[in-house]
Amino acid sequence: MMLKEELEREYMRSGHMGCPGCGVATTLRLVLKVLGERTIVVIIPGCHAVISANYPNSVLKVPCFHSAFEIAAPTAAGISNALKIRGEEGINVLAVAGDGGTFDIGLQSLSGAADRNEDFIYLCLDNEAYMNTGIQSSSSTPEKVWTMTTPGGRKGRKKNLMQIIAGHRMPYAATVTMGKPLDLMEKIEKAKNIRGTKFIHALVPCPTGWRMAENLSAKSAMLAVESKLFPLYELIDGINFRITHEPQGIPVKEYIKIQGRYRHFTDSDVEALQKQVDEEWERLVEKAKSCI
Amino acid sequence: MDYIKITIEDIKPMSPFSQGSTEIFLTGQWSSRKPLYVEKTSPCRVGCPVGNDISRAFYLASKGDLDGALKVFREENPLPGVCGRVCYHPCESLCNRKEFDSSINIRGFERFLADNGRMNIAEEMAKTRKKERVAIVGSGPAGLSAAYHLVRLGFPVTVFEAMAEPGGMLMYGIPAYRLPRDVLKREIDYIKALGVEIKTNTRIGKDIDLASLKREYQALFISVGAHKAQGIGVEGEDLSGVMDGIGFLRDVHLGKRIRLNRRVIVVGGGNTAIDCARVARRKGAKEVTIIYRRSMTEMPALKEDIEWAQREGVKIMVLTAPKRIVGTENKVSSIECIRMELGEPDGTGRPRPIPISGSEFVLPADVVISAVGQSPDLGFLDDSGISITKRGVIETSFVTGTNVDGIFAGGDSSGNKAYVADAIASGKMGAFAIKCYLEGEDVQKEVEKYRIMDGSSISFGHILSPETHKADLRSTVPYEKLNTLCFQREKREDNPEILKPYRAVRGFGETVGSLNREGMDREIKRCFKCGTCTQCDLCFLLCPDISIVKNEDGYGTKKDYCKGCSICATSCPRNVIEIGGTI
Repeated sequence: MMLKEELEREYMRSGHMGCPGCGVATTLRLVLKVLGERTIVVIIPGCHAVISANYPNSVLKVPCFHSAFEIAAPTAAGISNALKIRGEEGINVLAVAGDGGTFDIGLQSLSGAADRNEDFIYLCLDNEAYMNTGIQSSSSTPEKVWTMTTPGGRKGRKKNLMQIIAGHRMPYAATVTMGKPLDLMEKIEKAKNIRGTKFIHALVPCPTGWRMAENLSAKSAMLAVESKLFPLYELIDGINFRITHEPQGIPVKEYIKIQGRYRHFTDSDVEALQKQVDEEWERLVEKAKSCI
Repeated sequence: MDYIKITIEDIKPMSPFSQGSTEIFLTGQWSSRKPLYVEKTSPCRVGCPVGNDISRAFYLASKGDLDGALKVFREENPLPGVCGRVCYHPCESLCNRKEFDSSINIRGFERFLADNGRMNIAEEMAKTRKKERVAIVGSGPAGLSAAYHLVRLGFPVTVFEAMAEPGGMLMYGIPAYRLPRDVLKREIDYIKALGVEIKTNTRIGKDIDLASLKREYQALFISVGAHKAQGIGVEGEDLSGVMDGIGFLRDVHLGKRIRLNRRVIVVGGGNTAIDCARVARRKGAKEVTIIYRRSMTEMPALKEDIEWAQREGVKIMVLTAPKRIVGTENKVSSIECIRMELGEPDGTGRPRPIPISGSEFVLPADVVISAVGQSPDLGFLDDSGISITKRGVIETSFVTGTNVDGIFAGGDSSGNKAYVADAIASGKMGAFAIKCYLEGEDVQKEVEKYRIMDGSSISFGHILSPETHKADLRSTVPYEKLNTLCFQREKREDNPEILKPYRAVRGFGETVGSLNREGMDREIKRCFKCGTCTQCDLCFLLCPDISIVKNEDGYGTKKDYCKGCSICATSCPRNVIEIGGTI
């Protein structure tokens, strides 16, 4: 558990350009609270790039480096290695990318960095579409969901990124969401103290892109967790699963009914989704059972 | 950042470098909606006749401050140890947690605090001493409650009690297996320690007359209870072996030699009937049968007590009424009963029992105990001019005032609901009405200021320490307004049984024990604490605009930056945050 002073310290400033109810801002803020002052952040294009700085003003109170869209991971790895060469210790390097920069565009460079087990934390702020450029579908967009480029609903299921991550046998990977802030902060604390590539998959609600009221963003993240749609777990060395939060198991309908991007879902669509969610959850429970 | 040995000048030629702060952008101007922290009244408090601030007590207990939690109960209730054992806990029926898994064991919590918490008497003493004196007639729960709250308001109080020991029905009615006498004595001693004088063996109308009381004291509160048993109203009631329930319980408490051998019939369905039946088992009766004219659902007695009675071997025959008590040689030998069926609701809202003709049958009996109701003995008021209702109780207004100036009345003697908690509530109201009367305030208006929702109780916490009691008494928290996504389902901890029924009937030891510390801690954690800010930090952590700041006693808003997204209000687990439209 964090100390009171640690909890209260802030490494982000008010006045940023995030939409009201922005999940990216909250998630980034919580992560930085844990990582603390001795942190260097790598930012690539995405909402978080717009939020973190409006030249010549910065939101972050820690050094931040803006890099190209597809190279969040190798940029972080480069900084991490440069620090090592200079003999600097105890500085966290955090690569921040959206789902576009992770699921689609930055995947190969992330894979390379993870393969070399470079020492940094990779934070994927997954809001399930290219929100910054105007809600275009990514391979993280769930099946049948509305975006500007999939007006009739996306074909194909959301890419199972954690399976790809598992294949890299990273020392630490975890799913987090702002809806469960204490769980999020505990996981970042763990990642901070592990050497090697750490991957954090954060589900980030986006009121603008998800077509929902701005006050519901945190609640939608909680609903995603409690309906088992987005289970919170850790993955150690790519093989050991540990579920960190036991969901209430409320119907997934509660999660989708507050979002306009699911508005066209018929009852049978909801039913099919519920079945998928239940099966995925069972699979995860099975995996977690066989682990210590 | 001096630990990185790169200066801005090193970087500048390579790429643009932001050095300013975004705090120059006052994003608060985007919206006029801003959060407001408004603590509310929890539904359990609304349901509690006494008006205990339950969620606040649970909050303090969750911070490890059990003494503080007990103090919260004692702000409203002079008898937490009593209520923690015998209360009918309407709070638990309104508990929001009931919708989620099961209600909180609030009664067990109150008992735990009363038994384990400590009070600092010096701190509780009234700071001012007023000169107007108040006399209270009767030291039952209503009288004790009035005395306690008056003395805390600074008035000198004298309580007159006809019997040898104070406590009224608590002492002479409720059997010790439900309420151990040392618990009651401990609570009465606490009230005395605050400065209340109790004169026992002093019956008004015999030892002192009412007129002289009126001369000596500036205000009077009458709470003599209802100790006169009503008869069953059937033939054979004068036979030897027929006794009244309340007299039976009193005699048992006084230690009179009572030996019941074989078959006992108890008539009635209230708590007195159940107590009589269970006491009869303890006094040697082999077969005890309760006959009640309505069905099990209408029985006014507490469900858990009915269950205990059954487990102790008491038989309950519902839809049965006595028709005649039959005797041989002036002694009860049997009781003739008739079967009933339920008809249309009567004036009390319960279905009217209708006899089924020709369904008479006979039950053999050695003793018949009638426990069909009690009424107050108000003979001493004959010349006082105080008006009595047709039902034979003192006529009072909502704020306990009688038709005579300066005389107030409460408890069973003014026809309140016959539960301990309701008696305590009327004592509280009496104390407040007397304060207003003596200080020349408009009582109706004052009561509305401190009244909990539309209930019968007022918040003494708000009266005595307004600086620490900020909860809005006029708004409560419905289940839908809670964010239950922050909670997890957990099992309710019930108070443990410490005696098995076959052992329980051998004596008067308490049958249900206290929760242990671990069980209590689980209940304390389980409580939602509706409407009370527990400083859980969720609003602070979730704010995307870093616009909620932690203060000494809660949270504040940076209005210059808050974009009015209202995540905080929607996510608050306890519905403490409202969204206001002011800048």
